[in-house]
Amino acid sequence: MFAILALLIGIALGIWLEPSLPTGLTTYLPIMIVAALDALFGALRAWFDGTFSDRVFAVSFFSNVLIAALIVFIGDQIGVGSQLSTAVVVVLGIRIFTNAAAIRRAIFHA
Amino acid sequence: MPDESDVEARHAADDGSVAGESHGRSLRDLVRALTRPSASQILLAAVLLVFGVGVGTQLTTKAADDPYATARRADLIQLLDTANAETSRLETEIEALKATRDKLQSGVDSAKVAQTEAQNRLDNLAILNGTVPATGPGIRVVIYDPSQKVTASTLLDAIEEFRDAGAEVIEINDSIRVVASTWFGGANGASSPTTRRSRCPWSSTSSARATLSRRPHASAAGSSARCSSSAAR
Repeated sequence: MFAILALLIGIALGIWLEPSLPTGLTTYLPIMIVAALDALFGALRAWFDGTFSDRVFAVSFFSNVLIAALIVFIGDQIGVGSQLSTAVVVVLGIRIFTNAAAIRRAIFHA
Repeated sequence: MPDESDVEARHAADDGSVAGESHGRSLRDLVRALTRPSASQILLAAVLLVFGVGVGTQLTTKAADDPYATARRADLIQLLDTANAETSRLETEIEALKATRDKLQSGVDSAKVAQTEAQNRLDNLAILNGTVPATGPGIRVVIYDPSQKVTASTLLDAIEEFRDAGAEVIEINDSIRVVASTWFGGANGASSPTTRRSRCPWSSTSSARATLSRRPHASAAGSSARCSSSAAR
């Protein structure tokens, strides 16, 4: 209950307050969101498997986000930022789909 | 009822590997867990709050900003170069088209001026040549020659004096127009302009016009002069 409420409140806060993002961070926010989505789906799958831990989830969430942003940042520094961001999105998308398949199996047994 | 806090975190939450001894959960368990708040959900809620703020921020940023705000420096430089090249190309085209336009305009003007000049010359030459009728203010000179003293050369001198004075159209005896090929001959008192022989009385109508732009449109006013009568005007 708290989780759903917090998610909705967070989205509402982000839209309503319109926090001014630092200009250097605007490139990395979409990548960070995709990484967070991957962490969320991984957590859901782990929960269905019965191996969920909120502590592990929190750590993996932030580490995922930071690593994704770091990879794109390094790519920007060496001139392949757009390609590396594409690569990160592709890899995270594959992971999201894999996790989604596992979740689907857990829910529908198919 | 299994709670998520009871489970040992042997696997990373986002790990793809399946736990060996874990018992599977169903959708009903998920709904039940989400609808029953527990203390262990606080951390999860905090993480999701951060995630929600990020998503909301990204949504508003995406909606508000122009596409160049998140573009990279190399892309921006390329866009700028493309725009500059396009601008210079279009400016070159503008210059060429302006030059063409000026050329065409000046050509039209010069052609018009040349046509006007040619028309003026044509009018003047037509009047001098006697191919078109002429009308306008002028003088009438009547020569009385009772003693037969006027020679052809005298008459020619008179015509030339008229010409020098500015006469453009000269008519003799209301019937003979003096042109470049007119000649005078014969004995005293019987000088004949052109091929026709004219008798004693010389009635020369000289039309001196002040302006060259006037268009001749009517035939010369005709008036007869008799030998013995004065028709001076």
